[in-house]
Amino acid sequence: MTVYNWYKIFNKDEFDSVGLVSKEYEVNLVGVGVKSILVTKGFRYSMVYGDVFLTLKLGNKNPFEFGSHAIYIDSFNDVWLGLPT
Amino acid sequence: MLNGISPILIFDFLEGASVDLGSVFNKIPVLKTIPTFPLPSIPLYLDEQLTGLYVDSQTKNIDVETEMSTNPAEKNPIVIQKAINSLITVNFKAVQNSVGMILLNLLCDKILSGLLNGKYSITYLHTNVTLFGGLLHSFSTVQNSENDLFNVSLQLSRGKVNSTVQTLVAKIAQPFNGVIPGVPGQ
Repeated sequence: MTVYNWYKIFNKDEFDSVGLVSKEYEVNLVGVGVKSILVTKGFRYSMVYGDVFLTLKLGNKNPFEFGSHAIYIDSFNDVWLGLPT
Repeated sequence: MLNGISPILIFDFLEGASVDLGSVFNKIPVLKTIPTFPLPSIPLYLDEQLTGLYVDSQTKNIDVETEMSTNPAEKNPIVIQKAINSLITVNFKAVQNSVGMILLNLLCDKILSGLLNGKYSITYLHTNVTLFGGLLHSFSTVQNSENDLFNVSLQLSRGKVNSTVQTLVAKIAQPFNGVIPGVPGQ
């Protein structure tokens, strides 16, 4: 079981209400710095962090892990980005 | 004159004293710096007889940028509009060494020194085309070899410079350590 530093990036319902296919979020990740994260919505919701593309619930996995990063959606529809500790 | 009425330009400048009195009056409760104060307005009539400036044409245009974004639910596209500028362009001819031309050159040069802190404004009045508290967008003069007239183009923009700089604060995300958020260390 991999332990991550999870950062709340956006809320799925709020993103849906904007009605756009993509939106850039500028977030100050404490301990990392200010980062621009692109959230896109196609068949699934995805986040682009740096050069890593993370898709929510890909392969029915929540959290979905890729390399040393992860993406997770909780019961409040908040989407979190997992970074290595 | 343009169509029988002379347009008028009014230049307003703010001056601030550069003396810092803090070191002199440290123990006396007075203002340490003198704030800016307005100088008397400087009017300039664009009239061939008064100031030697003959107005050829005057235009006013407003530019707006329109962006449309589609969305996957096939609703109506979202339309976002952004104002680009609102400009008044005055083209006129000036006699070489006319009072108006000399004054206009000096005032525009003075504006250049005040550009970085927005301590100036220009008002333009001519019938239904008015601009109060505007900014200099561009100023150009062309002289050719055929005569001794200057062809002058003056563009004024609507809007005031913001006196404070607004900075966008990024949303802060605190880290939550764990296998999944909400369940620490598990």
